Amino acid sequence: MKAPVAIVGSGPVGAALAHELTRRGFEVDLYERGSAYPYPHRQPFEVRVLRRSPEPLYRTPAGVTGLSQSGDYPVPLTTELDAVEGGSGVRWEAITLRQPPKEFALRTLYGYGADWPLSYDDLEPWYGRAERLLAVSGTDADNPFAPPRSTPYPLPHFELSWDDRILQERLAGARIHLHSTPQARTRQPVQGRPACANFGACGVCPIGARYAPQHHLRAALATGRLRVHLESAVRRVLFDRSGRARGVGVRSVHGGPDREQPAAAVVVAGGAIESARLLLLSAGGAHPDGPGNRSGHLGRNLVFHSLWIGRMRFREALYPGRFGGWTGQCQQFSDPPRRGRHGGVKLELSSRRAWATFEPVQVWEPPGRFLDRAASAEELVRELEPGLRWRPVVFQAEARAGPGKSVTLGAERDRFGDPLAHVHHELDDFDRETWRYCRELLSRLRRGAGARAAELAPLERYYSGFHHMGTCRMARSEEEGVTDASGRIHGTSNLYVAGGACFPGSGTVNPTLTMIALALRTATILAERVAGDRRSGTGAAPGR
Amino acid sequence: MQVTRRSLLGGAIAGAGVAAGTVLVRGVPSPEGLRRMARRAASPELPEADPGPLEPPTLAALLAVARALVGDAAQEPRYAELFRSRAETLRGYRQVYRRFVERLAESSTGPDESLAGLQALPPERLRSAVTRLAPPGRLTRLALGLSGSERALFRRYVVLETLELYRATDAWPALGYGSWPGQPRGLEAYRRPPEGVEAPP
Repeated sequence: MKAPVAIVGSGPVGAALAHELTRRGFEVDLYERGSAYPYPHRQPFEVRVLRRSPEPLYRTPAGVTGLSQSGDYPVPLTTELDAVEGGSGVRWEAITLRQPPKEFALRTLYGYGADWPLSYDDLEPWYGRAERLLAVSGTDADNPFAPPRSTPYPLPHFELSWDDRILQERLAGARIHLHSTPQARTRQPVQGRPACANFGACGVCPIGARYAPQHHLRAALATGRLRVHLESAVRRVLFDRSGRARGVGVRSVHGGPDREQPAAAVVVAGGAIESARLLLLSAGGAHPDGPGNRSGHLGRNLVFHSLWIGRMRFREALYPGRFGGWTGQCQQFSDPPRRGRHGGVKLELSSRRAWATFEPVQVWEPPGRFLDRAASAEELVRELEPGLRWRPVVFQAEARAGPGKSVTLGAERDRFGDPLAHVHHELDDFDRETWRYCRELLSRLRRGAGARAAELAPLERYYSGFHHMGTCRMARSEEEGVTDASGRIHGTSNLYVAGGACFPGSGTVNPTLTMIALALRTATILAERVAGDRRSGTGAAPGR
Repeated sequence: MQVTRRSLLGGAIAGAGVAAGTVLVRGVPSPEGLRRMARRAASPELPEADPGPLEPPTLAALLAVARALVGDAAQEPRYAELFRSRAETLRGYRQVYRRFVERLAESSTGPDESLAGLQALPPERLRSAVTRLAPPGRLTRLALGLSGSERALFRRYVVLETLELYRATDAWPALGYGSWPGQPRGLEAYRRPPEGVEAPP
């Protein structure tokens, strides 16, 4: 039997890789530390939404996951990593935007950051395929800032909500363009997924209308060519003397001995933090500093999006939150005049976030002040009523890599004795200037929308949006990065990284669609290379 | 036991005493240490006690409390399910529920201390009793939490979670929304104004 391709991680990227490779006839072993997760998410929906229960939706044995962190990032990063079948794809927001073309060449155009080793035009066909894979609902008809496309969206868009339309009309007078949001929710039934019914609890969509990786893992399993190894921690990528990956070292999260799993190629798709950690742990032999790390880039160049939440208060009730996903956003400020001094910003004037004004707390956290003050339903409703007039605005800002942002191996260890990741993240002058730009934008929005008041989160209250990127960034050469444009690690012939870890910069848009587009491209190139190796007899047999 | 302003003040003083004692023994905590202490006080840990089924009188008493807090909405099965599922699946809840209704009965139904007596109370009287036993207010909750009073548990895990369920569901229609998130609301209504609402100029 020919050695399979090994994929580490079962999130959206791992699932897309597995689906594409099995579709092409490859045997695939996929490894995931976490356990199974129900799909569609009916049972998690009942737990979280119907019972409001704080019970965990999944469990991982103690000491399997974890990390340490330093710097000024105010959120425990452990809450942003999901060790479960489907990874963070089990609860993502499903916003699927293409990265604007200029963001592939920031160094050339603006003198900061790093250029991607491929252009938007190179990736454009893959964006189309990624949109079809996820069944994206969208339109560019109302968005003059959307990148060019060669294929239509697979599904019609979600129209703006009533309250978004009111803001759209007002903001148009101030020359601010609010438009619809492409998203991996089903506007119509497709691929065995029902149409979105607007439950409004998208993090645990009970019917599979919001895309989850399990959809394609199930399809890949049905081919008989995919084996999903749940509760299996990949501790090392294993190499032969020449530096070629010969497989992975795996151990059950419940203990027992390591086992060597041979592979014709290995794709690490464990997210920007864990992917860097695994590669650093795999140092030795032909890769003494870790694969692709001859120039020391592995783990460096970490970037998060900086999300600052603002809000505007209106005189009249707008009844936000009647659509579960997002409808309104604005890409007008993605490419600001002073770009380089600060980053571009995408605005989310979303009803979805407005729902969060009613949802500032969750029962597994200390309840908020309005609950604290209330002694009855009547009092509670009185406390909630002002929320009808507030509309949050999320500023999703581009960030820049720098010396204050990195992933290394830390001093703490997991249950197998391996060092856990240590993440250092601190805001720099670029971020501070970007926050000031967000403040200007909010002021402009307030005037344009006729809001009575507006406020923005302080600089230090930023949030990544779970968008972790850059630790294995792609570059034309090993001097500049870790992987090449195909995701293959420089200095190796069959070891790849897929996902946000490969991004040379954060850009301004939600990263998942770009991650999937790159993953499909990587799978195709990898398939051709492995097939070529097998034809020429250089394809690694297990153990060679 | 009757819960009075005096006993509440006692709780607050005890809480302040605990905080002062901590400072004396361990020195002035760091800002992060203070935040941790406040978080723990605001959301005290549940006791280490096995989950299990609720006795029918306890559940009935809890539902009477829910009715006193949120009115007729408490007749929706989700309120019973809230109490039942937590008691059966999560450590500590059953014990807190039992203690809560016992204490409430002691303080509000007189010498017979009967749970059935709670259900017979007019909702307003029962609500007053709940408010006395588990009073609202963040500072009060912090003080009770710092003092280690079980009344902090009652407020956090009985009263607030009941109100939280109401907030996430039945409060939406009460605010003018036709439905609440978690119900299939379709893809038409969200594009129109809510029933009876006119578009602002």
